[in-house]
Amino acid sequence: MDHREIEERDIALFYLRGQLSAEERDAFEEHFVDCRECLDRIELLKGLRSGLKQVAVENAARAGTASWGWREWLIRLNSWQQAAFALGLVAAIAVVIALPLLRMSGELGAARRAAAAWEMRYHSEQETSAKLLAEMAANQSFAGATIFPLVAARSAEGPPVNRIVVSRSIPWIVFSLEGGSQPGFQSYRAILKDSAGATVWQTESLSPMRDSFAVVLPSRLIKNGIYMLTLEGAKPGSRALPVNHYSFRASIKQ
Amino acid sequence: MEIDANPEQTVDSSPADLVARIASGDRRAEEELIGRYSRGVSVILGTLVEQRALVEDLRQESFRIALEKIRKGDVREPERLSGFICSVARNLAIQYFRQPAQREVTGSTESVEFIVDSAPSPLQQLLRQENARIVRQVLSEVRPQRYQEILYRYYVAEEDKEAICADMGLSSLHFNRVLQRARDRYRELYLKAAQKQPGTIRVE
Repeated sequence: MDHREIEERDIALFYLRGQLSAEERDAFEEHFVDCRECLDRIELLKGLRSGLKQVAVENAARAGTASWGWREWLIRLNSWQQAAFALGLVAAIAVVIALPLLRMSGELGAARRAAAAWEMRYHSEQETSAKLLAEMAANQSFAGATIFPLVAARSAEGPPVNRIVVSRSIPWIVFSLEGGSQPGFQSYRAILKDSAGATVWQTESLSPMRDSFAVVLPSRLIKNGIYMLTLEGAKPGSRALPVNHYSFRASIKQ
Repeated sequence: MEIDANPEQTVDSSPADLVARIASGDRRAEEELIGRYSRGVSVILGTLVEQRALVEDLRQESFRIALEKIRKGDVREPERLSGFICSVARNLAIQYFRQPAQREVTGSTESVEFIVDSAPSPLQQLLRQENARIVRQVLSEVRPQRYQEILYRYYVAEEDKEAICADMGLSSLHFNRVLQRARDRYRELYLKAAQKQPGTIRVE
C-alpha cells in the first residue's frame, strides 16, 4: 500500500468509516502506524468529520429539524407554525391575485403592511429557534431540569409503557434510560420520534454512566402525545443497531 | 484530533534493528519503539474504543505486552514489527470488549480496573467546541454555499462519491477539488489554533 493508492482511493476515510476489508484494514494499519504523513491525514479527517457531525447536530437543534427538505420542514413545524405559514401563504396568494384589482394606493399600502407584519412574525420564529441553541450552549449545567426515568419497552410496537407530565415552566428535561448499556458497543445515539414517525430530536455520541444513559433536551420540544425514544448502539466497523426502545405518553402541564 | 505542532526530526532505526536492540536489553531502543509507534497505536485503539482514558490504558498495556514479547524473542518476523504492534493493540481492544460479557456470567470482579468514567471531561467539551468553531468557519468559506452539502453528505451521511456527483451534477475532479479545499483550510485553521498552545492540541 503506497501513498498514491491511499490518496486516490480515500483509504484513510474508509478506514475511519470501518468500510475496509479486514485485509485492507490490516495492511493500512501496518503502514500508517509508522507513517507520520498518514497519521496526519487520518487525524485531520477524524477532526473534520467529528466537527461536521457536531455542527450538523447543532444546526438540527437550531432548526428543530435535521432536514434540508422543504416538505419535511413543513411537516415538522408545530401546529401554530403551520397555521402561521398557511395564513402567510394564503395572504401572499390573495395579494398576488387581488393585486390587479388593488388600484387604490391605500389598499396596496395596507397589503404591504400586512406582508411586513407577517415577515416580522416569521423572523421572530427564526430568532426563537436560534435562541434554542444558544440556551443549550449557555446552560451546560441544565439547572432546573426534571428527570424522568424511562423503562425499556419489549418492542417498538404496542402502547406506551411510560407516562410523563412535563411542566412548561421547566426549561430542560432529562430522560434516564435504564438498562441501555450493553457490552460490545463502541458508541451510542438516541433518536426521539413522535407518533407520526417524525424525528423530533436526535443526539449522537452518548456515553453510558454505569448502566444507564442520560438524554437532555429542551422541554418545549415535547407536546401532548405519544413518543418513541430509540437508543442505538454501534460496534466497531458496523452500523448502528437499535439497543432499546422507550415509549412514553407525554402530557403538558402549563 | 492530535496535530504535532512542533514535530521533532528523528532518524528511525530499521524495525529488525530495533527488535534486536530491545532483545539485547537496550533501554533506549525500548523508548524509541514507544516514541515511534505510540501515536499510531492510539489511532488504532481510538477507532475501536471511544473513551479517551481507556484508549490510554490500552495503549500502555499494548506496549507492555509488545516489549515483553520482544525481550523474550517471541517476534518471529522482526522486519514486520509494525504489523506485530498493530495486532497486539487490536487484540487487546477486542479482548476488552469480550470481558464485560464474561463478567456478567461469572460475576468476577477481576476486570474492575477497566471501568472508566466515560463522560467527556470539561477540557474535552471545550476542545470539541473549538473544533466545531473551526469547522463552522471552514463551512462559511465554502463557495458556492450549496457545496457545503457535499461535505455533509460525504463525511457525515457517508454517501458514495458517485451518488453525490450524479445528484449534484459534479465531475469527480470538481468533487475532489471541493473536498481538498475544505481539508486544506481545516488543516490551516487547526494548525493556527495548535500554535496558540505549546506542543500539541487534541480534539476528539
